[in-house]
Amino acid sequence: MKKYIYITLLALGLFACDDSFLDKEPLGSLSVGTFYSNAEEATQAVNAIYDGIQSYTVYGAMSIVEDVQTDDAEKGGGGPSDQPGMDQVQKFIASADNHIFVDKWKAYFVPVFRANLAIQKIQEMGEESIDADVKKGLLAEAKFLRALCYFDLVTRFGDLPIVMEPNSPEDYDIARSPAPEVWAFIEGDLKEAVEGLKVPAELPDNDLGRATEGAAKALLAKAYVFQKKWTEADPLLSSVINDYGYELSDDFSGIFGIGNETNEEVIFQVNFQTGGASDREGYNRNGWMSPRSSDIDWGGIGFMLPTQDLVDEFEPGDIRLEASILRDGDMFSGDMYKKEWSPTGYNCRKGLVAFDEYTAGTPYFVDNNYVVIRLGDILLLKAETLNELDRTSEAVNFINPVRIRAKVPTIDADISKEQMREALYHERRVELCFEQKRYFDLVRWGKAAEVLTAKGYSFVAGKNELWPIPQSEIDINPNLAPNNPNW
Amino acid sequence: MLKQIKCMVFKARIFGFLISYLAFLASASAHYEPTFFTDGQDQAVVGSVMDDQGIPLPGAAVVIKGTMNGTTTDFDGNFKIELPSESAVLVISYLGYKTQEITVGTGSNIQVHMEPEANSLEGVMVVGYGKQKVKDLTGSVGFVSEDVLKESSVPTVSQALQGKVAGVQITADSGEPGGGIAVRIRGTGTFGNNDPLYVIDGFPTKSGISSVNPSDIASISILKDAAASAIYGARAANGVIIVTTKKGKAGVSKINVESYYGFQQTANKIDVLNSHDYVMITKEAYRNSGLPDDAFWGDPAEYGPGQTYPTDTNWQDEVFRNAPIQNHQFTFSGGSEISDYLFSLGYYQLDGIVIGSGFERISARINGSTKFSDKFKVGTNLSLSTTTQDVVPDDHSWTSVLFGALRERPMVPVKDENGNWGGNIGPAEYVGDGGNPVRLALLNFDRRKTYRMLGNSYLEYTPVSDFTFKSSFGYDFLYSKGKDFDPTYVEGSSQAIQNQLSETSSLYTTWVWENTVSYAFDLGEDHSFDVLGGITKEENIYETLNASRKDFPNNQEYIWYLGAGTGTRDNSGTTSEYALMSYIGRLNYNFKNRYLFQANVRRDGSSRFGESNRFGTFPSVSAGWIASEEDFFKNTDVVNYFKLRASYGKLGNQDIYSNYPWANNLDLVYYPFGTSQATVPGYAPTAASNPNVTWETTIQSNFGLDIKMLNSSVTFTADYFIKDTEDMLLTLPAPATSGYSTTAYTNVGKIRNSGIELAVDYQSPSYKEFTYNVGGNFTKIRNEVKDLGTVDYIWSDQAYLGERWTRTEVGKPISQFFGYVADGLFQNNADVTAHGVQPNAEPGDIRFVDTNKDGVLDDKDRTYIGDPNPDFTFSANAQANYKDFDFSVRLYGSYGNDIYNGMIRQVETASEPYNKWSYILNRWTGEGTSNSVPRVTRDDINQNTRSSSRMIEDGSFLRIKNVQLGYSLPESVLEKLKVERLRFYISAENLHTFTSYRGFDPEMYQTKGSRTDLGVDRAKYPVASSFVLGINLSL
Repeated sequence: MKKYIYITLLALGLFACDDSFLDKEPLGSLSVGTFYSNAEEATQAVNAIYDGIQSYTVYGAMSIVEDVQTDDAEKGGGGPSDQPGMDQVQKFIASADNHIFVDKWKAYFVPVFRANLAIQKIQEMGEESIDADVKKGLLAEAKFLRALCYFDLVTRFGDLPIVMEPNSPEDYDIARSPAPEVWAFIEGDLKEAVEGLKVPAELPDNDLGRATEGAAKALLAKAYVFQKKWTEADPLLSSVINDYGYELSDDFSGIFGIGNETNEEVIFQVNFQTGGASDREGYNRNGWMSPRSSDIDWGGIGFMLPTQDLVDEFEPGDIRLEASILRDGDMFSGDMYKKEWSPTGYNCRKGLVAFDEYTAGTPYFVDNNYVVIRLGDILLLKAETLNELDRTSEAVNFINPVRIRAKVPTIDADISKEQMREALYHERRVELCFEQKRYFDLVRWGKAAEVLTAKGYSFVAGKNELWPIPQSEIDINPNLAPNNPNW
Repeated sequence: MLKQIKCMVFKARIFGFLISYLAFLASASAHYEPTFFTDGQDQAVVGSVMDDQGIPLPGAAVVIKGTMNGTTTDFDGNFKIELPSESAVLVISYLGYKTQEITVGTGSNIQVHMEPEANSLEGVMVVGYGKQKVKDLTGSVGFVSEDVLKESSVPTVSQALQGKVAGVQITADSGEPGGGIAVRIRGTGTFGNNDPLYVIDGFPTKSGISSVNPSDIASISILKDAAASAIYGARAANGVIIVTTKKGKAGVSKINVESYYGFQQTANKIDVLNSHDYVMITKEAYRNSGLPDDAFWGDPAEYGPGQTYPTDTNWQDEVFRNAPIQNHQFTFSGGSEISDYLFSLGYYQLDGIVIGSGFERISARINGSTKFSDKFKVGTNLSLSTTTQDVVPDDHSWTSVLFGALRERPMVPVKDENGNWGGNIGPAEYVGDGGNPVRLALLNFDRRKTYRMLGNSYLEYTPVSDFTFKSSFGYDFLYSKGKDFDPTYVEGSSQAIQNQLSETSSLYTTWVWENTVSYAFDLGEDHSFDVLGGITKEENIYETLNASRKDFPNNQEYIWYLGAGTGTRDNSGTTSEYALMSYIGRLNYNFKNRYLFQANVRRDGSSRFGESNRFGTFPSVSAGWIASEEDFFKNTDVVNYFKLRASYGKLGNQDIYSNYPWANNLDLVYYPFGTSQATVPGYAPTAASNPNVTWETTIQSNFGLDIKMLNSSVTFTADYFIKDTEDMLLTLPAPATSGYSTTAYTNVGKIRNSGIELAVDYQSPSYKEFTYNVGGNFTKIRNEVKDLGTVDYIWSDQAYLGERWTRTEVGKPISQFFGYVADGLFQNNADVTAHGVQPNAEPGDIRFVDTNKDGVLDDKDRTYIGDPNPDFTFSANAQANYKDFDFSVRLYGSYGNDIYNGMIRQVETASEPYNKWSYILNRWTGEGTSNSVPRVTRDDINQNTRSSSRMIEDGSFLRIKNVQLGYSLPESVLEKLKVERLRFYISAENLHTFTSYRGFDPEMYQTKGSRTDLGVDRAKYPVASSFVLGINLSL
């Protein structure tokens, strides 16, 4: 009996083997531990940051939110229960749990994380694996993008946690820093970016769309303007206007249309392209803006509907009205626009793509890029800066080119500082509508409460100038408390 | 040693003889005057009754069918009986064995071999890596025999098991043919994979058993507690379902034909508005919002048959249909003392009750074994199957065909006068996103095929009796292929101008090699041992290859091949692997046939975990006491068998979200650069990783009781269990500043499922002309979340319409519905003023409770408003036989579970251009008109449709699961036809459901696409009611 048992147990023993049978490595995927070994991989780490800002919630479809909560546009869509969160934001009745705030907050920290990881890993790379200039350029790109995210965050949420490296669970309790410190952080990143980035003319054709020295200077100037650091802003704005070859485009619509990657007015834009390795790269806001009509083959879901108030803001003959807003009887994409397609009677035209320019057959996937910074904006900021520095007569030289292009009368050099302010309030609204500028202009001018309450919005002064830190984020990290005033 | 066992069996037989004899006397005398032996002219017959091993059965009852005349076998299993005629039939029954009917004919000496009843005490039950006598079980094992499976005319084993075993909750989460069936053994123990491990003829698999033909199955054992399932270690936490397929039996060759044909339909349609009422309600909604009366639609009176706008489509009538169902199965089997074989071929096909859906399965099986010496035996079980499933879009979602049928407006025609699909009508605000559901169902082709070969071959070496070495090698080849074509079409004034074909394929291959030794021995008279040891290895590779192409020259089926497309092409592919290596061991110890002890252990090593926590050990211990074997118990003849059981052990769940959870992977993203805007790759991690992840552990205790009484006619089983999942893998909310929305999976959560399972069965005496059996089971499981790591609650992983509808909180069952509490309607302005916290509300709007009483109605007033977990589930069944007729019925029900009726959220608001449910006609239209259905409004200023207790409905139901009536031709006819058995039957599945739930189907548990949500209904494809006519033929 025992004999059999021994024989069998011996046989069983043969079937056992060492643990290496259990060593299974991931197949077909890269890992953080082994990546970042050469310039190409470092570049790909930086590319991922761009992908982060191209997301649905950052500069994709949800870039409409910031204008929906102004007097320029209504939410639209299929009624209040279509995107109810956005409806509440528009009506200034949103609470700190509103998913728009949550989504925006989260979405911006994704590219911030990717930038932090890229910066950390590229910093660690030695001469043997990456050329020093390439390394410097990539770090500068990452810092530009990190600054861009923080710029958008600080203008929306105020005081912020400053995250400077990819953080581990031990750092999840990071507290908020006062806005001035955030601005200093942004300035620091942008100064390094200016140092390390190429000028647009040096950028190889293949790299068009990457951050440039001009873009970094423009963003740094904007950061100064938002802090009313007019003297610091002034020379930077001049440099942007003079040193990089940016020109006002003769074709106002073209700035936002298909092919705008090579537009001479664009300083920084987020690229969208359908039909590459992933169609999702073409998912921008176009379908959301397209009229909610089944009468036309370019119909979409009709969000961000221009208000009558905005239409009325345009002076007679201003070509920007037709280029920005679809009105009853306008021809677009071979069809005549009907006011019945929108509860306000209007649809957004700026950046809208005509049917024959679709590459994927649907209005949701199109190829035009989203413009973040352009010369028109910079010229008006320059005029504003000069005016605030009491150089009103010089300011005229920067507002008038914008008006001349729009085919509206120029402004006389002898107007008062206050008149120039009023002129800029008007000009920025009509020039930059639907470009995520209006809300932040109103706030930095201190006019948000006055303007919006006068028009019947439930804007609460001392509260709605900022969005709240999402309550769910405070729940996870109590150090983010207290929330913004009155939220 | 063998002698001792035989001796013990013999002793048991004597005991059985006494019991049976007494019982026979008792029952006989209770009902009639016995006339055991009649005198006179009748013919006398002698015979003997033996068990399957040839050991005589003393005390077996032998009765002449249709009479009260009978006898019992003597000590040597012999009997003598006088027969009234040659055609008389003898019914022979014995406790623990299948009752047999014998036509005596002219023979005079009859030998009857009795087969053990599978779930009787003497019967053996398949358990992990072996078999065990029912009476010696110390673990909690549910058993379903072939006969019970046959009651249902359903395509999958899971469906056939529904309601049949206490503690096993089976829910058709989609009624779509081939759709998902959730099997939960003893509750939901994790947010991760809750599926049990299936073991098909010894082959362990987690890829389901939908490819297995229920007609091929001989028995199913469901291992519920740690004692029974710990031998499967790191895969056993969710229980184990052991499927054993039919084998050929020694004796004559047999041909069995089973066939049925029938039709199915939806049990339920939802009343929605017709075109007249839709227009009326829409216009009223505009007026109620202070908007100009919506001029577009004109006068409601112009709508309806015979009016200006006669189209009045009932979309549910358009998408539901009466659909055929058929099943045909041929089984050839036979064997000798040396070999056995079984071949089967099955064909199952049904069309779905929703147009465009359907399912087909072709299956074949070859089982066989042979002894080529008295020490060696080899065998093979092999099944081949192919399934084809036609899927309609997006069950359980807003873009589903059924939700489309609910919300598409009635004035839209299925097809317009130009032959195009009917579509959107009207200006901007009337443009819905729903689409024409008929177009959705018929045009979007989505076919999924699977090809599976699952089999194993084994060698058994038995050098001496009771010592066996077994080596078994199994292979599972599962190839899935999907084809999805989205055509171009014109629908109303919108159109799809680009067609697209997507093809997916995946290959899932697993090999398992298991080597075990088992040895049974006795030490002295009172001590019996049974030991098992083994080593198993398993390796799995999963490969996918997907491709798609756009722009095909036309939409015809012949062109649906990737090479025919001219537009954008896309492709992807992945491979991932895992391996397992395990050591198993078991010891059974039986003292004096009444004190039972068992210990199991499995040590599993899994490639899924980092090297430091790769191996885990999963032990269990259990004990049983057969009190009825004690002397003091033998005095009672009410209770025949009384056993107490207890078990404790540890199990694991290694089926986690990834084969490589420890790897910090980079994900590929894209961004376009350059004048050509070429997309370039980028890499960044998009999910956090944790190198320390390990399996989820479950600690389970079980206390059980088995009783047979009243001549073993009543069987009662009760179990109480506590099942603690520890180390549940959770992702916790991470601050957004980390760049991730959640932390990596960490082993932190704890969930407790505790419950009671009861099963009772009564079997009437089997020798009578009218025999019947009634039974039932009851399951009550309490689920409680004990710990969620650093947080007190977790939101649902799904947002619907911008809201999250469930939340899981420590101290409560998982997945509680969350929202505002609705408290009737404001009847007048005074009500609005008095309530205070909803200043914008108008009379007719819903009053929401300011639950935290802070004077403001906001998010903080949301609270728990419902629980999807049932208080209890139950099942009751009855079978009866009278002469040649047989009848069975089974009820199945669930009590106390809530359903989140997500559909209301979309169909109630008049601000959406969707059709409404007819109950809206009872809306509030002035003070006192309604206190439950709010006024209709266009702008819904009060947000009446916000997530609230209005959406919570009682999901309790009682379903007549199946009813079957059969007629077998009598022996006399069969003999003429030269047929062994011929039976016709009619059968109905899901005949009727009693429920107050307003959706299509209350049978609902896991929410499709969600890890965390239970019981959320977004127009689930309902389970069909089917009616079939069938035939069983044995040659």
